[in-house]
Amino acid sequence: MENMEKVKAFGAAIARAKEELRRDLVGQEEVVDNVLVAIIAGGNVLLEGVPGVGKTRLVRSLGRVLSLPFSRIQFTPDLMPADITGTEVIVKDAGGNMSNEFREGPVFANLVLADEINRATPKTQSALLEAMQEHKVTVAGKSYALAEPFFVLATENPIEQDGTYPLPEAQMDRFMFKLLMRFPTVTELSDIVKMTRYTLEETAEAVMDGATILEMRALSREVPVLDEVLDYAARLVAGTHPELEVAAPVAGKYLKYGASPRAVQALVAAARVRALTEGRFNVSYEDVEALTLPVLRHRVKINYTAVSDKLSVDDVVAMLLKEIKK
Amino acid sequence: MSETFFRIKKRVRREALYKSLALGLAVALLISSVLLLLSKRLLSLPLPLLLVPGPLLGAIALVISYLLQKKSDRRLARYLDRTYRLNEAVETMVAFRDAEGALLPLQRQQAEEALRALPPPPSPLKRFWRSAVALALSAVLMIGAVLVPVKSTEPSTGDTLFAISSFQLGALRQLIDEVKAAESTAPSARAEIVASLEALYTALQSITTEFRMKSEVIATIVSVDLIIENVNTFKLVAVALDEGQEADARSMAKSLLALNGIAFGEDLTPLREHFRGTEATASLTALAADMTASLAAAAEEHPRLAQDPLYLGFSAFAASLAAAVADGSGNENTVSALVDKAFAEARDDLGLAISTQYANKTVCLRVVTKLAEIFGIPEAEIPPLLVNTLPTLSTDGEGEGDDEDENENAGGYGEGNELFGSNDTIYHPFGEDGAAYMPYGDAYSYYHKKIEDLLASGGLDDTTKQQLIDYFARLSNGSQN
Repeated sequence: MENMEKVKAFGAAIARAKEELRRDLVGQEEVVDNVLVAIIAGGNVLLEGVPGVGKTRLVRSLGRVLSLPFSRIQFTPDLMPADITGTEVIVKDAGGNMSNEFREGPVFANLVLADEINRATPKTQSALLEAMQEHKVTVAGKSYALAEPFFVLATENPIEQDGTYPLPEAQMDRFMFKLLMRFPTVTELSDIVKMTRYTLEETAEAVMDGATILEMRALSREVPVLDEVLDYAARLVAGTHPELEVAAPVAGKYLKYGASPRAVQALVAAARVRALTEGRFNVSYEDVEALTLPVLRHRVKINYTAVSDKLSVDDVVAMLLKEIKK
Repeated sequence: MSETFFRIKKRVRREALYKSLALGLAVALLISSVLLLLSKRLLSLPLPLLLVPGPLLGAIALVISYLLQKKSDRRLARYLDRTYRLNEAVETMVAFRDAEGALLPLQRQQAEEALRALPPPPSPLKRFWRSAVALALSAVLMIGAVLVPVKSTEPSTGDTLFAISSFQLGALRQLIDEVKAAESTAPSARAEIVASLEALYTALQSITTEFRMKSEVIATIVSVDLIIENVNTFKLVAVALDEGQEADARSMAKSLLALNGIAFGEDLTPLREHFRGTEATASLTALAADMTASLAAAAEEHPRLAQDPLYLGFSAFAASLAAAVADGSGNENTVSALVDKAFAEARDDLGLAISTQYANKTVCLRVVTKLAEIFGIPEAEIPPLLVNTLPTLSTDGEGEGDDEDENENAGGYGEGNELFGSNDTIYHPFGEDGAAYMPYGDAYSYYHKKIEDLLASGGLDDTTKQQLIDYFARLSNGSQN
């Protein structure tokens, strides 16, 4: 019964969180839902969207709703790894003694917005990515753990390609989801103007805290998954590899390479959270299907045949879903 | 395990059993009815083969159907999840029924609630209508198979209705008139044929079945054939001549037997030709004596020959030949002249007799052909005609007469100059197993039986009756008369 109460409370909290976020962010319901799932599941998200669609606002509102400290890192080409992780500085105490003191970088927050991550150099990118992977930072031989829950929401600007350093595929794999923030509709644009007529400040209120998120994360790991559903998730990921016998026909035709085993882990973990947030106590095929695109979109690469056939990676993944039967 | 799931499982298995029973029964009925139909209409099946396959296949269908429909717990759970869109809740519950976990009790509870919320099953009619329809259809088929009559292997008994048409009456009347007008035939024969045809004309107007009609027509054909066979004596005379010692006589016999439209001109050339090899009067004398003796012997055996024009004609010819030789000298020219003289004296009588008998035969064949045509009787159903049946002559003189052996009306079966022995094979349309080639004796038995039935039916006039009796009496005696 305790668990039942907990789940009910979680469900209510998630619903309230979505409501609060909608106060600050017009539209983008799917992005909001998936970001919440990723946070609870312990993953990180890569957001792609043109400037002004609300990427930063989303993260700031998330911080308020989830009562989590938030920091924003604007990636520029001259950004150094120490600008992210922090560095040791020499301090002089009252007695005039000199010592090294570690000054935490912006990464020491629960929610980190890494804006335009593709503008920084690979070295700087890897500093953040290491933090994402290890949940700790190592400076001058000393490791500093990051607060839990730790969530990175990185953004990429799809327009500006000059002077950028695209994330390597191996690094992209560290993001649980890649979500696309679409341009608002006309109605949504009107709503945005109305909402921000007097203030640009976020007004969402706190709904839960980090401890709650961690509790939900632990509980989500208890959600049972049928072997058949697990098998389905595995076949979806394996089906993206054109070199394998189990490859889907669309993979053989349109993909250069497929997703790594992390994709299955991400898929199942996220599916568990999704089931729980919808008030269900088992993972269904529908959960896996709903999360396939965010999980695979940045983990597979389309080939020139797909480009010449004017197919996007989303189109190819949609075709994959049709070919791999439950 | 969820009580609701258990209850659903029981219901599903019960339904599977009922549907399988219905299917098994339907299959059994279907197979049995097909076999029954086959045995009634096409094949003759032994009883075990008729009774066993249906129930056996039905039982097999029942078992297979039940095994396929009887779902395991997982399959049932999957079926319920997919049918009612339960998001794999039931299947998860079943799969993890023995597992422990923090959320598993909640999951089971949720699945149980979902099962309880399921709509009630459709009415039995909706659930079982397919089985009911299959069972009903197979039952109807079985009833139909039972009611279908067994195919009769007997030939058509003439149950088909018959009513003579005005066209047929008109054509028959025309035939009667044609026969009446055939002045070249023997008057007695003509009168008898007309009488037979008139009797047929009358009888057919009251006959209502095809079998009776065919019987009457065939009886008339047989009667006409018999009439001509009784009137024509050329076979007897030919046999008589053939039994003589002289080759010339046997040659003449062969020509006489042919009777195939020989244009017997004033000089009886076809007969005259056989004398070209004769060189001496002594041989002519012997020939005349031989002929006279042969004919006399034949007349003793067949008294009716005594008054027959053909017999008398040949007798007179033999006498003329003997007289001519007695009057003449011995050189070749004289011999030829003597023969010419004898033929000249015999020309009128012989020529008329032969022509008449040829005309008799022609009329007979004409009547047979026309009757068959008018009443649609196939050639195969017409019995062999006596007029086409020729006696076997000796082999001497075959070369001369071969071309005359071509009998355009050989009809019947086999060569035109051969009788059929009881073991000769002929085509018989009404065999026990249908139309077949069989010994003549067997086919004869069939016709004999039919004629017996016809005679017993009382539908024939006395004259026709007697003719049929005489005909079959002679056949059964092996007589050619």
